Amino acid sequence: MQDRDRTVARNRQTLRRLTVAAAGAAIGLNAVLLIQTSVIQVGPGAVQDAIVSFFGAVFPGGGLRAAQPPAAPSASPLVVTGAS
Amino acid sequence: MSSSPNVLWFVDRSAGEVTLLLLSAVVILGVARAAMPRARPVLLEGVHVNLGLLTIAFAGLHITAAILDPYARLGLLDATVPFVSAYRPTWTGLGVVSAYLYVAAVLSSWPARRLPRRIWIWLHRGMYAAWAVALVHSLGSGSDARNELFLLLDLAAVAGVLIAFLGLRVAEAWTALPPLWAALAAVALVTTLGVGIWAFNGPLQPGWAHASGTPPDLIRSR
Repeated sequence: MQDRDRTVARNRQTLRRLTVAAAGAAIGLNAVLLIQTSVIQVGPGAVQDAIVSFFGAVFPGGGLRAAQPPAAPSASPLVVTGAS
Repeated sequence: MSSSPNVLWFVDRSAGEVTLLLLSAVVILGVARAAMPRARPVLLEGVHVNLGLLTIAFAGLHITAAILDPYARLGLLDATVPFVSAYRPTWTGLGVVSAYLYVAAVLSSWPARRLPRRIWIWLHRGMYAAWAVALVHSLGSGSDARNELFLLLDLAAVAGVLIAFLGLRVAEAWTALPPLWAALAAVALVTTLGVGIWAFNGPLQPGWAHASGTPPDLIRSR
């Protein structure tokens, strides 16, 4: 009787682990596919901006800012030399 | 109305692909359970049921994102009545049909299979049709059919279900009624080949967006 109870408990635990692993894998794959489709369609910069603005909206005091647009061709280039 | 894709459009597409993969896993586990009734039945059936519920969660996410997303302009009516949507009506409609077949299989199994076993088993076999129709829906209405990662996952899903059906179900039941199982194996192989040929000449070719019935203004906005 005890052996049977132990087997049932072990089966339940294995089932729980497998279910959690499958759910984790599904959520992870969903995130990968979501990022991949967005990067292909709108480009990595736009995705980065979207993620930053999402977190900026959720955590307003976090100090996150979207990437700055590239400098206009007429702007003076900043030359940095002698990096230490 | 929006003519450019937004995050909901991407959620719709990724959740749709995950739903197809989960549905494939549910079918494979169901086939394994039927073919090997003595092989850890509690565990096999438990994972089969739990993944079935997870499939409903992801299908819900897929449908909700499709309805809320302003890009493809799908509404509640398009999500519940097959073949009426303005966006790829045939292929979107197949998704609705697949959902109904799946819901029938799930609801008839719960609670505690109150239906007579013969009726239940035929409704449950509808899961094969739900999976095949979902695959065609995914290739036909998804705008990622030519995305290599999506294609690879679709191929893995098809290979998994086909191997499970032929290698487990047909192999196990073969001795009982060889002509029937030979015919079912042939149907599975011919259907797979047919879907492959259709996909190669349709969704995997340039111009499918137009041929599949995407509204012209959405094609122009890409």
